[in-house]
Amino acid sequence: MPSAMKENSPLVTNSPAVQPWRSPWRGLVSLFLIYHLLAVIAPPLHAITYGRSLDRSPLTTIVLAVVRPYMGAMFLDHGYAFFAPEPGPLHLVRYKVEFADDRPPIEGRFPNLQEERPRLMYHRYFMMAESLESAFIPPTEPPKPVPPPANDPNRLKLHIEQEANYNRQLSQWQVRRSQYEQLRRSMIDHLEHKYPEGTATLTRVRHRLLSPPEVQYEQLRLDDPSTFIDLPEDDAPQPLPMPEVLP
Amino acid sequence: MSSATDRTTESLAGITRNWLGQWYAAWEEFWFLPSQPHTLALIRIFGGAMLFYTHLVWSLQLTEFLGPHAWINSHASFLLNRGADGSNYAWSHLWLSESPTYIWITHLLALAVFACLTLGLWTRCAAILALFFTISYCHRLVGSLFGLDQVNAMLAMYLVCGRSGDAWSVDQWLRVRRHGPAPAVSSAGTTVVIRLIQIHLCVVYLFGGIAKMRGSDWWDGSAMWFALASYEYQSLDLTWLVRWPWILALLAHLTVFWETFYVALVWNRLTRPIALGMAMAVHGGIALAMGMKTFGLAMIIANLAFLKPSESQAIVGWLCAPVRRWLSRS
Repeated sequence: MPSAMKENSPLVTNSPAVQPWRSPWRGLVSLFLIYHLLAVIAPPLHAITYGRSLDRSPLTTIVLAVVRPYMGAMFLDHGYAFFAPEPGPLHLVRYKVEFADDRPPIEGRFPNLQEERPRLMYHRYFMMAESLESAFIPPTEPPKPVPPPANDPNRLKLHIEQEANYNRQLSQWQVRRSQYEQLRRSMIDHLEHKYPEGTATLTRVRHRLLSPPEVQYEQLRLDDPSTFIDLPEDDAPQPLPMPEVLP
Repeated sequence: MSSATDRTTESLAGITRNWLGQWYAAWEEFWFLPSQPHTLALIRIFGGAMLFYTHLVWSLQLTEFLGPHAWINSHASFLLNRGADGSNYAWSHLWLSESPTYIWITHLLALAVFACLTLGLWTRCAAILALFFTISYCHRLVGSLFGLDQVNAMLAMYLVCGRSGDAWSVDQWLRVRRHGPAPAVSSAGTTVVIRLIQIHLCVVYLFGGIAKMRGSDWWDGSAMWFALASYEYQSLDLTWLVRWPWILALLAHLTVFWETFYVALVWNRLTRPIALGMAMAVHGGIALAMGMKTFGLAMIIANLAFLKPSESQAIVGWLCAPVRRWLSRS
């Protein structure tokens, strides 16, 4: 180790009892360390290397594929983009359970600081609401590509590329849509089991963040009712900012 | 002419060999220079306690989150673990059965394992099982996780290797009782683990900083306002800072600068205290103002990896001093 690095090393090695490792073992461990660190770095690198089209870098896509099994098994698939690229709106879930007889409906929402204690439990519900929102994808399949003009000399090549791209998008949409539908169904099943004979409905709610002038001059409260917006389940446009990862 | 060319080639080859040799030596010493276990033991105690608390809180609504009619049932959580290409490498013992009896028995076992890890009882075995349970819960409970779980899993993963039970542990106490006092063993395994935590932490901060730099609100400083004005996070009302936008901007700029350059600042002995002090301030602030005490604490625990073993010993000595004084008085 260069002297400067050794001097800066936070380690102390003056113990009389030392257990060094043999060279072949160190070699094997070194190879594993390189692979492991690749699996640590690849997911956040892949998460930030997107351009205007939001497509990811082809290089990081390949690296990610190399480490995917290990990364998936060891729970390393994280972007670490806390409150980034910027703090976005927060999301809640409002639920209503209605009964066929004359019982009054049960309404609630999560997260709810009054009901979910301690704070860590509240955060679990909070993240569940955020997960439902981030899993949402409109129910309509991605549009089929317009075929290239008949007089285009590269027509066949373009057509093959378009088809491959469309099939990839369709397959991703199917995976994400099934994830969203299953997540939503699971939450509804939970409520209908908790309140037998009831029919549950969920509404995703966006809580808009107030700007400084709205608080300073308009004296709006952070939980002003006007800041909560119900989100549609269909293809209606949703005012969504850049993707954000919450801690 | 030919001999001059040969000499140049030999010289270049020598320089390259020397450079590669320096790289090899640096790599060897960086990763494998044996180190004492005190810092790792400190991380084991606090990290183990955080794992125990995190899973203890699940106990309050265990079947609501893991039972057959959980908010996110097994099938949904399995699907959520699938990548966009449909691949899924996640695993969990909690997918094997949804029976409340099975869930409660394995949960109590997990709590016992985390307690053993914290206390340093059967440490190596407890660390392996702690990793198994931690990742297993994370895969099953996807959809209700946040940064805390990522840090918990990171620490659990690295505590499997290294000799974290060689200091401040029941194992060590038992060894001393049986064989008498012995000096702590310096081990290459401990160094590898400490280095992995250090590098992993640098990756977390670096990409956290770069990701923030992709957003415009972190550049004009308004991101700090929006973070503090996040009603659902808020545990301390700091919206009065709206009257001093320059303070908000300063906090935003400091956060991005520190997060991005932590990877450089923390390795130099002169700037390390600044990097670690900022970590305490930022994560302490998140814990107090944004209601994420567990996440803030977990990040501070991970930052302990940059303490020298002697510094860890000093911290433990300082923490234990009141207890010793109380014991000597009574």
